[in-house]
Amino acid sequence: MSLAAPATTRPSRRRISNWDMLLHDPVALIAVIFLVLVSLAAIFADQLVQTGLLLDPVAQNLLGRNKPPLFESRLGLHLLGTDQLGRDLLARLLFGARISLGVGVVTIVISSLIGVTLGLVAGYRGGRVDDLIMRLVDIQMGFPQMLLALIIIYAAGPSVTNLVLVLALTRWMAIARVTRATTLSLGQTLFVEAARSLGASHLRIVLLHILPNLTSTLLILISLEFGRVMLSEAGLSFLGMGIQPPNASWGLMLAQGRSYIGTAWWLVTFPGMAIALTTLATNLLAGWARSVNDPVYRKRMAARIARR
Amino acid sequence: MAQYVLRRLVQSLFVLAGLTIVVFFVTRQIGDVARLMLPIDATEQQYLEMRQALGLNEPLLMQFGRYVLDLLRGDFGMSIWQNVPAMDLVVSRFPATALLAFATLIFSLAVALPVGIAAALKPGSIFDRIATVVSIFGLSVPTFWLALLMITVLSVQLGWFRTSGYGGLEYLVLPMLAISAQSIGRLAQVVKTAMLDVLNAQYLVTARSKGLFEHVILIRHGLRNALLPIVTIIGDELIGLLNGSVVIEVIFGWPGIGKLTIDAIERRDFAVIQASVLFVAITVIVVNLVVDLIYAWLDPRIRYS
Repeated sequence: MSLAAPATTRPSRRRISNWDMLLHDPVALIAVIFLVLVSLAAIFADQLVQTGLLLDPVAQNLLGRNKPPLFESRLGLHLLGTDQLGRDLLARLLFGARISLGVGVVTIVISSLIGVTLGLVAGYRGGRVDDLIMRLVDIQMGFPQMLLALIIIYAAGPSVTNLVLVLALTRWMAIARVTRATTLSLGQTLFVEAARSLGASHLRIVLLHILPNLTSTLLILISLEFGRVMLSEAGLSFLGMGIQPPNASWGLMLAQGRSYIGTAWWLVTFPGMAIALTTLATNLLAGWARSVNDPVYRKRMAARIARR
Repeated sequence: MAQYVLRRLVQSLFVLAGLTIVVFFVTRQIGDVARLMLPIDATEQQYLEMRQALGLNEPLLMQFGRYVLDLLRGDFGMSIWQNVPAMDLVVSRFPATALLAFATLIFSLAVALPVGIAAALKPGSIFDRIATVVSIFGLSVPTFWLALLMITVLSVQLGWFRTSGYGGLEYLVLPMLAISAQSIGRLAQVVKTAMLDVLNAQYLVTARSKGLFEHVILIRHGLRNALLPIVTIIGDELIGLLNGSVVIEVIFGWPGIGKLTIDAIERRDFAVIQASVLFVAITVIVVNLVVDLIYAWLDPRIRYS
């Protein structure tokens, strides 16, 4: 019986995992569940159609155009109504999620690769290389991003690839700046000095000692950036400079529904909600990740969890 | 200080040079303005004459060289469609963009400052939590979606405001509210964080132990020190707003720089595209410089050299 005592006397000392923290934060938990569900639905949208859980997103029904939510046509029950060609709105939203989320993910991966690499090199090497890279960041920061993106896409032609490239090439600077700043301070730490004196190569130090310590900072920034990229994609598609029909993204669906806003509110409301809720979820996650990395908050949460 | 300003200005020249090169060569890829200006049944002869008249037959590098020489003389070229100096056109659209930008900024600050401060005074309270979720929500809502919803409800159904156009307050309110959601979200969070940092500082304990009134402590000792990060974010917001909210200007038919640029892109009006991008870039440089100078004025410890 006395054996159990040491485990309970100092509960707040117990280390709690990120998983515990997530389970005890309802807002963050809902955000994660929402993102997982939307991603799964987007990935398995084809299977959902095959099993009959979801209507065919391209099946048109000109007799059932612009019908409100819960309308039942010969195609089946339209949970969120139908669009201007009688297509099922819910199905189109889930297939649109593929493009909206896909563009966001690929863009973030590319811009992070550029930003993290340049930031690591600048922060670790210092000197001339650092000056050069940071000057490049400053110059590009001074560009009017949205206008430039519009012009480049107009010149290159609107396509998914061009959209991703333009968004990625205009969004790497913030990531590079943060990476450089953190790398600079990590370069001064004892563990990096120790690794260096043991004869570790530069590549080894950067990849095994510096990069892992950057992940939490970067994850926060990247989830914030993901929200911004989603909004940019939606805005460009809305202007007709992003995703082109017959592809569908949430921004494009909004643009198409705009003409019917007075008669068919659901065409504008639901795609907008999809964008807003997804961005909200990633922003909430970023906020959660920030507080999890705050040692004071962590200790408080640990005490609260232990008390239960 | 003067030296610092000078160095910043020289640095800005690099930004403008880079931008000039990128925008010039990218805009030439947009399309053929000569085709666009002629009727569909124009002959090949007329087409070639038009290209000659517009100076499009010269090699691209020659055109660029001529453009740069003109720029150095302060000549930004003529709008092909309207036959007026391109920069005049851009400058004539600036008041609309500036009006929307400053109205939005002032409104956002009027909401975000009190909310952020109140949230910082009682961290973890119900008010703080609601303020946080609402401001994150504001950040996440697509501006143009909000604009469409507001037009439908407030203009079409209730008839309170105009659906689009430019003029008095009945035109300004909706676009301003639509853009404010994002600004308020960002500002409120920064104000709260900045105030939280300050409220834990030693000098506030000192001020309190001197028995000063709470509002004196908050404003003279608290807010004043929290101003640095707040000024930074205000500068960033202003830059974003002056960049022209392209989508909002299009939706509301607001005759600002964003709308001008979109129209110019669609008409391949090269000189106008280049002039408006350069103009916006210059405003960004000026705002950044002013923010840095305010910094030095607010915090005597900051000395640029």
